[in-house]
Amino acid sequence: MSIDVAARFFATLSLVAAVGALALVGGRFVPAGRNLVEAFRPHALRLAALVTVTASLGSLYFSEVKDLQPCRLCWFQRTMMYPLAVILLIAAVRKDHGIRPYALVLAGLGFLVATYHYLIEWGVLTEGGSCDPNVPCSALPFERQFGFVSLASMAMAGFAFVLSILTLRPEAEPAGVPS
Amino acid sequence: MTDAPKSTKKNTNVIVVVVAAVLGAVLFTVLTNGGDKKATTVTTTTAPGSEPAETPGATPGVEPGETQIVTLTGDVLPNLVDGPDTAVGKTPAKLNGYKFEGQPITLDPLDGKAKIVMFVAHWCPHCQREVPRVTAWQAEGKLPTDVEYFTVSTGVVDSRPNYPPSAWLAKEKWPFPVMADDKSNTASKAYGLSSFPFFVALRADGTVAARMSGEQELDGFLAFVAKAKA
Repeated sequence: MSIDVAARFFATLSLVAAVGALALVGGRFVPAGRNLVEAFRPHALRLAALVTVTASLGSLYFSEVKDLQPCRLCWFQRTMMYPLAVILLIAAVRKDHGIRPYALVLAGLGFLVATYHYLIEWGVLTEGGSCDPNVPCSALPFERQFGFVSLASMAMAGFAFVLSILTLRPEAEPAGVPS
Repeated sequence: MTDAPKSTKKNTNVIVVVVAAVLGAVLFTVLTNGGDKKATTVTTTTAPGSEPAETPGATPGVEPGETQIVTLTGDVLPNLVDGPDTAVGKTPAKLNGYKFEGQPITLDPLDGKAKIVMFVAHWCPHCQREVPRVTAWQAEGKLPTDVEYFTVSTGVVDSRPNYPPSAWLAKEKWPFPVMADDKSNTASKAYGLSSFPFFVALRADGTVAARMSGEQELDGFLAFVAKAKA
């Protein structure tokens, strides 16, 4: 599989995640969206785990299979996404909603870094006063998909989805289940 | 009793949505051919003597290109790092290369002239901001004229933004001669480039007076130029 094919696939998934995040946030304020929110609420941990595991595997695919070297800011995002994938997967299996505060902090920090990275890619912000000649954060490893989706924006979408779904109040848990 | 079927229906709906999203992504990727673009122009570096040149003044056999052959004679400078610059006082290598159009161009530290060598990369936002700034200083007569200014276009990657560098520098009306570095960035490595933009001040005796990197304002740039004349 070429980088372009992989990039298009993960870019499409990230757009689904971004739309999902927007729908989950907007659905709280629009009566018509409440059903959607209610449908997703019981699956919050599983879906958050699914998105972060997929994002982590995608990240590893690009670096370990396609030999794209992560830039400095990509590494910061990885330090948020990889632990999220692990702890959310465990939490999803154990139905442990007590993980939410920890996951939200990691996802929030990751979202901020990814947004900063995305703005650097577009030249809105600059990273320091000079450019790294080897793996610059401002240069894209492949063309933007759909004209605007880069690895940074994929990470943004993933973190945004985690934030939007884990800020849903969990359903009342049966007695004995950790919360 | 009535809750169970409703919950099952909700579960089914969410699973359907997730599966549809993944299948949709696969289908979309296949239908759009993975976002494959038509083949990008590949810059070729041709060894002198193989084909006739088309550009006036170009060396026969050297085609126009965003990267060209660079040969160096002399020592490679250490990379610029924080702390005292160990390259100061050393004589860097002489570079023989070509302009984008294929004409030969030489950077000879021992030609008896003080000079400022600037290394820029087309995709670097800081270079993109520095180039018009220096161009304006030159146009406004703010730069000393008893120093030569020399540019090396390096770090060329055709998939990165603002490619090709020849078009970028032409658009900016860059007033100084430009050597196109090779694909291995031989020229920038020989001068110890640490980050972009990168500047080297050479004294008239050919030794390094100073090196610096990053965007510069006029005062800092003039102070740097003055070191080449000291």
